[in-house]
Amino acid sequence: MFEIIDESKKQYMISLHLEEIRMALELKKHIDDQSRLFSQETLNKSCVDYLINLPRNLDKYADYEFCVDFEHIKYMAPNTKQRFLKWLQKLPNVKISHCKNFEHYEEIKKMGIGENDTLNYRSAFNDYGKKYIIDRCCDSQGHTTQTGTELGIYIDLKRIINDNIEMLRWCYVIAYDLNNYFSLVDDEPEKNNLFFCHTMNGSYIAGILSQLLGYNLVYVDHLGPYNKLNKVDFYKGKSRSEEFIIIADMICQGNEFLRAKNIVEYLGGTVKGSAGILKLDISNVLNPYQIKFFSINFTPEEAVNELGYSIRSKLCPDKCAECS
Amino acid sequence: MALRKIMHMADMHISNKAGDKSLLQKEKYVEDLIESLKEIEDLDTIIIGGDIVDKGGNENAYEIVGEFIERIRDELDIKHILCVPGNHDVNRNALMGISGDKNIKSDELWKYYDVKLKYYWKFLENMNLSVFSRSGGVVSYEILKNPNIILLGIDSTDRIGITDGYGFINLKEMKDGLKKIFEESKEKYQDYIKIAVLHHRPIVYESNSQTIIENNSNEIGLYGTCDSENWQKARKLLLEYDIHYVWTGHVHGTQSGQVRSFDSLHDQINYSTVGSIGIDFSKELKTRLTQEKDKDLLDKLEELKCYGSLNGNHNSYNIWTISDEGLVREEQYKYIIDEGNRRWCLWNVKDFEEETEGDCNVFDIEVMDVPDNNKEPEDYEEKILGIVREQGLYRTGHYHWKNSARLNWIDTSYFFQHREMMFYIAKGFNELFEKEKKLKDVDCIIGLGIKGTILLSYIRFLFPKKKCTYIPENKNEYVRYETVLFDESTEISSIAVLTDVVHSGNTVKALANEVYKKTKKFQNISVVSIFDSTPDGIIAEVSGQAKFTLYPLAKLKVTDCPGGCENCQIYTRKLANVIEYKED
Repeated sequence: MFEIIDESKKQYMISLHLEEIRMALELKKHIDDQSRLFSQETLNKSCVDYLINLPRNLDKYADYEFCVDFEHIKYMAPNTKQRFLKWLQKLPNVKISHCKNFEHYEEIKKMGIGENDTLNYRSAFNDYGKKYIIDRCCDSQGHTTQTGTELGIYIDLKRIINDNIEMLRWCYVIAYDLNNYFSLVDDEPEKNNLFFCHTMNGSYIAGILSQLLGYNLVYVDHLGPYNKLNKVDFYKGKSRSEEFIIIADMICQGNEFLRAKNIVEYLGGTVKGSAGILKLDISNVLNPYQIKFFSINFTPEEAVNELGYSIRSKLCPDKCAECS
Repeated sequence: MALRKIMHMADMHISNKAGDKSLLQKEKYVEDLIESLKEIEDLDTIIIGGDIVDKGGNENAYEIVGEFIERIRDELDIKHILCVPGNHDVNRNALMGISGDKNIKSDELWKYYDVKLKYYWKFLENMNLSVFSRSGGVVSYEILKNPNIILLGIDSTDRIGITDGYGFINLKEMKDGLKKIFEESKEKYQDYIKIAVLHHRPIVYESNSQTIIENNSNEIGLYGTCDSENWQKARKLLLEYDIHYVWTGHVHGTQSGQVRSFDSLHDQINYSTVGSIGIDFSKELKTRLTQEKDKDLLDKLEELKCYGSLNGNHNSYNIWTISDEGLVREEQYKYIIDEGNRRWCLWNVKDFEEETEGDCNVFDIEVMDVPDNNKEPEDYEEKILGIVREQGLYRTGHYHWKNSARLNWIDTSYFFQHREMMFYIAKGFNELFEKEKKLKDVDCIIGLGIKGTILLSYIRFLFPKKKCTYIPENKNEYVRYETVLFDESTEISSIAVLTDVVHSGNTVKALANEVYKKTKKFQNISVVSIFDSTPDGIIAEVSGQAKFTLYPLAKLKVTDCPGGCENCQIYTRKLANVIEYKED
């Protein structure tokens, strides 16, 4: 389950939409219907069953506030309503959010369950994600890159990929932001947009986002001194009018983004921006773009103070004010 | 996943009158019907939705029905049969015997309930079929387990007397019946799929699968065949007991639709009406086709030796598949020509789908894929090679030259950049993982290179309990940041490596050797790929005892051409132009 438990706020946050998507993937339903998983608006029986069985140990969280986020969920399968409502009612100190579009909203309201639309899974994820990166992904031994730059810490995002199905939560959050953006600009998400990826982590993320949001993806088998371009449509010139979102695991200074952007533009495409897992706001390369959606953003201060992030090369003087 | 298939039929209209026989009295038809039902696995329940006989006063006709029921019970191993009466099952002669020529007031008909359905009850008794009440309302019910379903037979003939009329349900009896069935153990049945079966169709559907917003006026009822006011009350009662499915007959037309009230989406009822299984409309159809000079359809009708009808008169039955995932799906029809828009359907699902282009009556609720045992296995190789052929993915031509690996390659990027192709490949991989024991048992799935990683992203969540990771093709970097394979606490004895093409197997072999040297952990390495282009589908053993097994979706030997066009797969499968190379 993708709950977010905030011990300091004593809050237990559940996103019904994310749980439904996880269940849809597990049931393999999407393979045949090839739908945009993010457009799923119905809470199905399997997911309700799953929710009812979890969390089993409610006593442990008896003094927590349970927040059930209904965002993007409008309907539920027949024959599940009563059990679902009963489950909801049993949750300790339960609050619902973004429930007004849900078909049984009035009934939930009659049950006397409190509402709070400021509670939001996306916002709760910010604290959760930052903590996750700090606790689990930072290698304090540092790292020397191929170009000789020395990093004070190495942020290993592959650990999220290796952490069972955790990456779905991180990709869901990116999809959530992208979906919001496209709803606002009234764009058809599937139309003429492509994901572009050039790293292993990036390709994994792009693959998941492609299933969630319905875009196709184009990859370059890593950026190197020479680039191996196997993209048929690039050769045929078909993609020249298409717009690309560059999917990266992480953006720090943005150099990789610029190299990927150059390749896309050289081949006739347009770059609309970038999306991914982690952005350290120490560069302004993404400033001109509207699409810059990352699961987690660290401000330059947070990057230095909370992550211990530093970057230097052998050419740096020992006490460089910029880096220290 | 527990599965059950339920056959819903209605309007058998069996009679013993010469020349007016139901199709169920024709031996060939019954034989065909039984043979086709035998092919449906998991079918153990039949619902008969009224109008069993053409005239309720005809006791002999009920005997003929009895023979038919005995036969399908024996030959099809049917365990549950649920019946409801229809307007034609009412014994009008018996009522006339009571009242003479005078009609009995509709609100007094309940007094003669037992009399008017005398032969119907006798038939149920003789056949040992469920009878819950002989006073109307819920007259029969069946409780089925795994998946859990309650079938409720509801009598809609309460006000059918000497003359015909609208369907009408005795609400008091219905309320008492539902209370009796559910109140005692409401908790127990809360997860059951509850289906109400009655004869009369309460509403009309203008087209299939549409949602009608009900406005609580009598307007819809005017077009239905139930008394509108009575149905509104019955409907509320059904919803009170969380009953959202209503299956009917009576109108000899096969349709489905959803109706909900303005107030709440939850107050939605999914209706399905089945056509007549007994009445033969083929003559009408043939006449119409002849008039319209539709020779193709006429020939098809002749060729298939089957039955059909036009304009709302359908000869059909419905097969429903119900799983414990809450799925209810109409799966198969017999011969249907739809109202207004002529539509031709055949016996089996495959042909049905082709003919109707997927335009079938499916309720828009949780639709799950139910294993279809009649479905032919997917030929992944042919489809994938077809795409290679159509898209020209076989690159640089093909040279008849030994050791030509560097001259030939399949541009797999096409598959990766088309979402629908990736889903297709994920489907193929999923089938392999489910079918092959070695794959089923792997502890860890590894994406190899960027393409392997994209493949991994498409199947990772299908196997949430398995460990997953990726490894670059260039092995320099992976050791330091790999946490899954080198985790001392994790027992990994077999792995599956995902990749697009296995050429010589050298990359996989080198990688496996490297990992094996470090871990000495696993014995089995399965390589799952889109293409296998190894010379003989064999990769040499890795150092130690680890063994490779290849699981490709398509095999295509390209690296070692045997020479001579007749033995060359590139040439014979028309994947690329062949250029003959002569050494001199």
